[in-house]
Amino acid sequence: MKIEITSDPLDPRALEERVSHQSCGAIVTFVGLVRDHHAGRGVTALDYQAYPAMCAKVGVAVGDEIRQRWPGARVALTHRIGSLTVGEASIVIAVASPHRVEAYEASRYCIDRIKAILPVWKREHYVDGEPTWVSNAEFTPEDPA
Amino acid sequence: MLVTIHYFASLRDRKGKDLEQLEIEGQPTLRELYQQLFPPQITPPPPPVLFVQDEEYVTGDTPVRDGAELAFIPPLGGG
Repeated sequence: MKIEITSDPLDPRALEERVSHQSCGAIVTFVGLVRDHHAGRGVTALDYQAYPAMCAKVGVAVGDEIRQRWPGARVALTHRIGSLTVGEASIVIAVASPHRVEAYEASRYCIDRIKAILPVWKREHYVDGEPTWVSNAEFTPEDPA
Repeated sequence: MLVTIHYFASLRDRKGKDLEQLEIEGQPTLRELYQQLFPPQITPPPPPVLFVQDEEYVTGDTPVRDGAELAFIPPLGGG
């Protein structure tokens, strides 16, 4: 799976067109959006940072995992970096597959894996208080503090 | 030996740079090098990390390779 990292606004339709294929009867598209709150605090904006060269390698690995589990599935992923405001899309994942069940399952698997291992970081800006780098629940460090 | 280290998120903020080349002594593991660069006793304490050598996740017990490109991966927030 080719992962695209971009500072431009995301276009879900473009990803759907990329995975679309005559063999596939379903596309499931996941869009992650910037939300106006986190853990009870008002959020005004997010900054995303990435390690692009490694994102490409993680994309290949996760793409291989998905193809092994759901043969015939076709996946594309774009993650936005830089400064985003509330309501903007931070990630789009499009999965096409011969039948809908595989597309739903592979989409869920993909976003969970991405949250655990894709080298991308998020800093939240709040209505009140200092901006903070925040962790996904899926992140599992080798030596938990 | 000479290594290149990438810094991200809170580690980049602490270092004030995103990349550096470093001459290191001995044969440290990635975990040992992380603890040299970000001692556990500093305040606030350094974040828990995953270890990367040459764009691959490795265990903290992995010896640092001469000429390697390293990264310490603080808590991820993608998605």
